[in-house]
Amino acid sequence: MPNSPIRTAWTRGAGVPRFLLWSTLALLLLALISCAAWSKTGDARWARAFFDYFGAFFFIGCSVLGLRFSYLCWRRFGRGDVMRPAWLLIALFALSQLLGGIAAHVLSADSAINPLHYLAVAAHDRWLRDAAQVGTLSSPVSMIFLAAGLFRVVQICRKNGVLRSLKAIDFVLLSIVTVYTVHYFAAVVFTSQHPEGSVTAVKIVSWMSDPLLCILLLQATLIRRSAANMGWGLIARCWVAFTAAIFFTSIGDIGLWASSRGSIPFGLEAASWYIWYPAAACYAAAPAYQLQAMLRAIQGPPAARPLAQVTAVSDS
Amino acid sequence: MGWLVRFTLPWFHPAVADLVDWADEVVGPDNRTDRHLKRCAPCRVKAQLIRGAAQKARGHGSADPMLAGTLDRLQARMRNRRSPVEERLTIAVETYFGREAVHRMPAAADAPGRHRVLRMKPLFSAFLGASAADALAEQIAGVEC
Repeated sequence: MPNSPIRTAWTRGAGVPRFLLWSTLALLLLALISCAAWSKTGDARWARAFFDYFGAFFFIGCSVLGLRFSYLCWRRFGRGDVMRPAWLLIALFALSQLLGGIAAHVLSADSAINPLHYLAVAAHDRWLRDAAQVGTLSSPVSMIFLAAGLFRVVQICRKNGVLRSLKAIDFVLLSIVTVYTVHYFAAVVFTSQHPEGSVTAVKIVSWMSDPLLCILLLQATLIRRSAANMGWGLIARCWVAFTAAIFFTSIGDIGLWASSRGSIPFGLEAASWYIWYPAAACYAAAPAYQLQAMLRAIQGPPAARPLAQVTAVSDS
Repeated sequence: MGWLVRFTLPWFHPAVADLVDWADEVVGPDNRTDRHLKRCAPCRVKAQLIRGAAQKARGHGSADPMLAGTLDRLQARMRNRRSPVEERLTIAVETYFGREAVHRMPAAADAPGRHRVLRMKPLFSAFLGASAADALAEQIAGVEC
């Protein structure tokens, strides 16, 4: 019989958010090294190597974890459970995020991990363009799924009396993102001469990202306020992780827009490239917390159960 | 619902706070504790010990106001002592929702101790699912809800 404490599924799962945190910190350290090497040598291959390999693997890895955990959460909710539809939508969000990540970070990248890279030249260019379009489309599609899922969560919070109202700082943050969205629409969408070239169906769909981000931020802030009001429990951590992910996404989006206009210094522009990694980690950590809470509730603390039952659950 | 039935039926052992109330005759003569004490000898002995000690202390207390004050404080602490079910429920609410939730969630805060698990169960069910909430309620209350 081992002397070490018996580890159940939920105690093993408890390590996932910590693993994601350390992985993100390690990745950001790598990003810093590659950025320093790029600025010192002037060779952009340092930065490209980071984004095309380490960054791409991190995105895909986080998306796979997020999809796996949100699918397991959805499966663990019964047919009559009020959260089941929300987790189905969150699992669909994770799926579209994974597909978009593969399209944007692997299939449309000019890197050695891109299988399209090994195709004939004519087909290669066309497939790269298509993959890039799929990557662009996946962002608003995944946001629609997440917004629908969070709408359901807000409804459940309100029904159970745990929804809290927004504070002044929340209104300030929401106003910043709304002002940015309105300005973007005024400058890009509602102008007679579109600065981003001809209007295509893909472009129209991609314009939905910013208004959707405003809605997501409002929902996430409402949920975060409610979670903060409760404390720092496992369920609260799940929704705080989603809020953090949406907040990081908003900052990244604003950074992209600002850098395209050349209105921010290089340091801030570079920071906005890397903020997508903590966002991806938070999107993966959120369902991990939820799954951990559900498994803990079902299995109970290890000390509370007979030894044979604990080992049976742990082995299954 | 099994645990609620157990709580409301007379052969379920009352909490210390209920025994103190009975000893001080705070509650009426035909209450649940009284009905239980008629059937359960160990609880009856415990309740009579509390009543005897309280009466004895009050006897001395009339001569010594400091002793009377100590007795009042002791009784207040015994009344406020939470049952194991309440302790487990508090730990569960803190684990799943957070430390503040115990005071801020209407279902967790306002209900009398024994009914809190039933009042909190829909909330656990909403956020964790019915099967997880059932398992959790079973861990808290000791029997299947």
